[in-house]
Amino acid sequence: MVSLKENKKTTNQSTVITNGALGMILFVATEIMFFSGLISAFVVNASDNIGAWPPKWQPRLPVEATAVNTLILFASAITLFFAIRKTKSKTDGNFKTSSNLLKITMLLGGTFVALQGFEWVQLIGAGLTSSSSLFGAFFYTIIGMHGIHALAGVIYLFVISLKIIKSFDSNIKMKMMQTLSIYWFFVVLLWPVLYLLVYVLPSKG
Amino acid sequence: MSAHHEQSFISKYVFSIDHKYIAKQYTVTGMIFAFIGGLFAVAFRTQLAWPGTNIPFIGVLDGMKYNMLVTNHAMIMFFWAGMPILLAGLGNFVIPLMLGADDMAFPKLNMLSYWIFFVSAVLLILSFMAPGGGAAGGWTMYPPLNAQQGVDPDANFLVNLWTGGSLLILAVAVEFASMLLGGINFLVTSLNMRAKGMKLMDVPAVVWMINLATVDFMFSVGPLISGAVMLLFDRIFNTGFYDPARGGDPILFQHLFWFFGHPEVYVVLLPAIGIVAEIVPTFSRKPLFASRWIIIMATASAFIAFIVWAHHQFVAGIDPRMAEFFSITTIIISVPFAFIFFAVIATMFKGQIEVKTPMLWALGFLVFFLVGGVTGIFNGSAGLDMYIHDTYFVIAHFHYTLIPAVFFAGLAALHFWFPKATGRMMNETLGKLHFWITSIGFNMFAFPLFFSGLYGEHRRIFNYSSYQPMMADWIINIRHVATIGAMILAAAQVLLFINIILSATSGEKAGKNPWKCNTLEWVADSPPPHGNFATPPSCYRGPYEYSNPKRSGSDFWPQNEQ
Amino acid sequence: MSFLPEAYSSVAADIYGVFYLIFYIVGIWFVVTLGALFYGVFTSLKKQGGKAQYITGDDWAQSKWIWIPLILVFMCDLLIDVKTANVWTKVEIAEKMPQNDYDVKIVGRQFQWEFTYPGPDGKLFTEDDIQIADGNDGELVLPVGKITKLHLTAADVLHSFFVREFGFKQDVIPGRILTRWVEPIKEGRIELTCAEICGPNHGTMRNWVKVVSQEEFNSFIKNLNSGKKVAMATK
Ligand code: HEM
Ligand SMILES: [Cu+2]
Ligand SMILES: [Cu+2]
Repeated sequence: MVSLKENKKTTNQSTVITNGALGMILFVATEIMFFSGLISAFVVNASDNIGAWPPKWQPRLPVEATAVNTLILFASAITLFFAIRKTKSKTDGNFKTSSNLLKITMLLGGTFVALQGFEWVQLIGAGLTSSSSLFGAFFYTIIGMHGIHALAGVIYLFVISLKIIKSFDSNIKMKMMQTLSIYWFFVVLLWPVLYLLVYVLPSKG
Repeated sequence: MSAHHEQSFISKYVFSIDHKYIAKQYTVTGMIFAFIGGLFAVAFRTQLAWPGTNIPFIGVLDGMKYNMLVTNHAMIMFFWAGMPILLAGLGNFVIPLMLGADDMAFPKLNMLSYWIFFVSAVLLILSFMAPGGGAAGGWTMYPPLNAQQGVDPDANFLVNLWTGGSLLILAVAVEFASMLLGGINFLVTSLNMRAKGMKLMDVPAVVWMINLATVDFMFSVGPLISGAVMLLFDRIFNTGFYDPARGGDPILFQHLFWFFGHPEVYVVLLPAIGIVAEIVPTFSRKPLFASRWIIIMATASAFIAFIVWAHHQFVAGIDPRMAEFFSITTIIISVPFAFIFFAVIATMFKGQIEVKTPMLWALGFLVFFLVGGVTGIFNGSAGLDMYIHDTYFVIAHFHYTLIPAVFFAGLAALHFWFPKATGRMMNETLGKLHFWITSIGFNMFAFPLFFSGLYGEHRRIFNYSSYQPMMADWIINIRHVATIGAMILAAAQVLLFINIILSATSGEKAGKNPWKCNTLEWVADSPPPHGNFATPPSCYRGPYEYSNPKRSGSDFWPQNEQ
Repeated sequence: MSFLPEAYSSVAADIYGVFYLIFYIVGIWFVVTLGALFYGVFTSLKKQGGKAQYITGDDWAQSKWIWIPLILVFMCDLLIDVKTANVWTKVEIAEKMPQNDYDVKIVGRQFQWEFTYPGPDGKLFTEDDIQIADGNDGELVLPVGKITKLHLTAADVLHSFFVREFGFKQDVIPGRILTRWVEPIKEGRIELTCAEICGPNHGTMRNWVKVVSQEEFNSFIKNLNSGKKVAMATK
C-alpha cells in the first residue's frame, strides 16, 4: 500500500475527511458499482432460468457450512472494530494490541478464504464447474471476485499490522487504520448480500 | 520547499511523481496513439474509396482486416487518445495548479496510474500481434460474436487468452484500472487540497468539468468491467454467460456496455467544454456568463448521462416501451447543453475578443460541436433512429462531437497551457495554419457522410460493391471526398508536430502570465518547478473577474490578489 | 432534400416525417445559434476598439437572454418527443400492431439470410414450414398492400434486418424471436442488408426483398407449397 502514501504537505482546506479515507471511499464506491453489475446480471439470468437455477442435475451449494464461514467473516469485522477502538482510546501507546488484533482479523479473514477454497474443490469434484452450467459460471465468478477482494484484504491487514508497530506519528497510524477498515468493512458487508443471493435464495427453488 | 529536492534521472524522467511531468507523459502517449488511430482511419477510408488498394504495412484489406482496423481505431481513439489527453493529461496538469496545490493528493499513486496505463498500451499492441490478428468484432464488443471470434472452445485458457479479442478486453480493463486510480486522485485533490479561501464555486470550470467527467467515469465503469469480465470468461473459461444456447443473454452485455458507454462520451465531452469555458472568457476579457449555472447544468447533465444509455439499443430488441423512455430522456439532455452553449456565446458579446490560436481552436470547437449536437437529436429520436442507426449518419454525428472535443478542444488546451508547461509560446502562424487545414480536412471527411448515411449507407462494410444503390456516382464521390478529407486531416498534424518541436526549443519566452489570466496556475513560474508555488497562494474570488469596474488599472483580477 | 430513399413501406413516410420535423426545428436553431455566435464574435473584436463590459449573467435582466431561448428549446424537445413517440408506437409496440395477413420467418446466419414460409397449412412454426435456401432464387417475397408479420431471429450471432426503403431496421438475436410488421406499398426489388457487425463477411451479407402483386404472390406460394422451383419475373 506504499502507493497510497499521502501527500501530507498540503491539505489546504480544513478537511472533514482525510485524503486516504476519501480515496478509499471512492474506490469502494466503484467496487460497489462493479458488484452491482455482476449482481444485476445474476438476477436477470436467474429470472430467465426459473426452475433451472441451479439446474436439477447440478450439485447444491453448502448453505449451512457457508453460514458458519459467514460467521467467521463477521467475527473478523468485530476484531477489526476493537483494533480501531483500541487506538482511539489512547491506552495502546505503541499500537501493540491493535497490531495483534489486526493479525487476528487477518487470520479470520484468511480462514474464510481458505474454507471457500476448500468448498470450491469439493464442488468441482461434485461436478459444478465454471462451464457446467450458467449457475456454475455465475457462482465462481461472483464468489471468486469477492474471494480475490478478501485475499487482497488479508494481505492489506497484514501489511498494516506490521507497519503500525514501527515508531512514527500515531496520527498517521490511525489514518492508515481508518483507511484499511473502510476496505475491510466493505469486504465483510458485501458478503451477506452475496450469500443471500447466490446461496440462500436459489436453494429455496 | 525543502521536500522537493533534486531527483535522480529515473525519478525525474521515468518514474516521476511530479503531476506536471505525468501530465506530459499522458499527453504525449495519447497524441502518439491519436496519430496511430488516425492512420488506421486513413487506411480503412482508403479501402472504402478505392477498394483493393494495397495499403503499406497492411496489404489489401479484406473483411477481417477492415473490421480489425475499425474496431481498434475506435478503441484507440477513446481509451488511448481521448481519455489520456483530455482527462488524465489535462487533469493532471491543471488540477493541482489551478487549485494552488503543490501536487496531487497521492503523487505515487499518480505515477503508478501512468505506468498501469503504459502496461495497458503494451497489451493493446500485443493484441495486434496475437495469432489471428487484433480484435475485429466492433469496438462495442457485442457477444455472441465477440465471445466466439478467434476462440477455440477445446483449447486451454492460455491459448484463448492469447487472442486479439481477449487481449484487447484485458488491455481495456487495465486501462480502466489506471483511469480509476487517477480519478480517485483528481477527486480527492479537488475536495481536499484547494488553496486557502477557495470555495467550490471559485474552482475554475475546467476543474469542475474534469471532476464531473471523473465521477461519470468512476460510477459507470464498474458495470462495464463486470460485463467485460464475463465476456473474457466466456472466451477463456467457456462460461457461456452470453451464449443463448446455454441460457445466457447477449443483450445483457449491451446494457452493461452502454451504461458505461454513454457516460464515457461525457468523459471526453465535459473536459472539452471546460477548456472552452476557460479560454473564451480569457480571450474575450469578460466574465464567463452565468458561470454558476453552467456548473449546475453540467452537473445535471452528468447525472442525466446515467439514464440515457439505451438510446444506443433502440433497435437491439429491447422492450419498445423502455426505448420510448430513453428517447425522451435523451432529447431532454439537450437542455443543459443548450444552456451551456448559449452561455458561452453570451460570454463573447460586448467583449474585447482577440482571436489568438487557443481562441481559434475554441471557436472551432463551438462551431463544429454545434453540428454534432444538433444531429444528436436525430439519433436520440427512437422513431427515426430505427432508420439511421448504424448508418454513416451516426458516424458523421459522433465524429462531429468527438473530433471537436478531442482535437479542437484538446488543441485549444495545448496552445493555451503550452506556455505554462514549457515556458515558451507556441508559434501563432503555424498554429493558425494548422487550424485551418485541420478544419478543412475534418469537414471534408465528416460532412458528406451525413448524406450517404441518410441514403442508408450502413457502416462497418469493407466494400460496397455488392450493394447497388451504394454504387451510385454521387455516393462514390462522397467516399472519395471523405477519404481525401481524412488524409488532409491526418497530414495536417505534421504541422502540429513541427510547431511543438520548434516552439518548445526556440519559441518566444513566455512570462508567468502571457494571456493575462486570473486562475492560479498563472501565478506560478513558467514552467512551474516541482512543488509549483514558491508560497502557497490564497484565493479571494472567482476565476472570471475580467474587466471588473471595481478594479482599476487592469482588466483582470487574479484569484490570489487581494 | 431527398437524400432519403424512396418509400416502399407504409411506415417509411412516417419515419421520414420525423426526420423532416427534426430537420426543420433543429435547422432553425442551428442557423440562429451559429448566427448569434458569429455576430457575437464579429461585433466584439478587440481591433474594433472599445472596452469589454462587465456582464456576469447573474441577474435575470442579463440571463433572460439565455433562459428564454432555453425554454423554447425545451418546448421544441417536447414536440419532437411526441412526434417520435407516435411513430415509434405505430411501428414497434406490439399491441398497436395491425392484424396481419401473412407470416414469414427470417433468420440471419453468418453470412446469409434465410426465409421460411408457413407451408400448406398456412401456419408458421409447424412441421410443414418451407424454408427457402439462400441464393438468387431465395429472396424474400412479400405481397404489396398486405400486412406481413416478420418473425425475426438469428442462428449464431447478432445480425440486423435492414431494408432501407422500408425505413427501419431490427437487430436479430439468437435464441429470441422478435416480431415486426411491414406493409409494402410499392412493387419492386430492393436490398436487404445486415446492419450489425457479424464477422469477417458482414460486408457481403446481402439479399433482396421482392415486393410483388397479389397474383404473383399467390402463385409464388402455390409453387412453393407444391415443391416447384420458384421462378419469379425479376423486375
Ligand atoms: C483522423 C480522424 C478520424 C477519421 C478519419 C475517422 C474515420 C472513421 C470512420 C470512417 C469510421 C467508420 C468505419 C466503419 O464503420 O466502417 C470511424 C468509426 C469510429 N470512429 Fe473515427 N475517425 C477519426 C477520429 C475519431 C476520433 C477522434 C474518435 C473518438 C474519440 C473516433 C471514434 C470512432 C468510433 C467510436 C467509431 C465507431 C467504430 C465502430 O463502428 O466500431 N474517431 N471513424
Ligand atoms: Cu449515448
Ligand atoms: Cu452482419
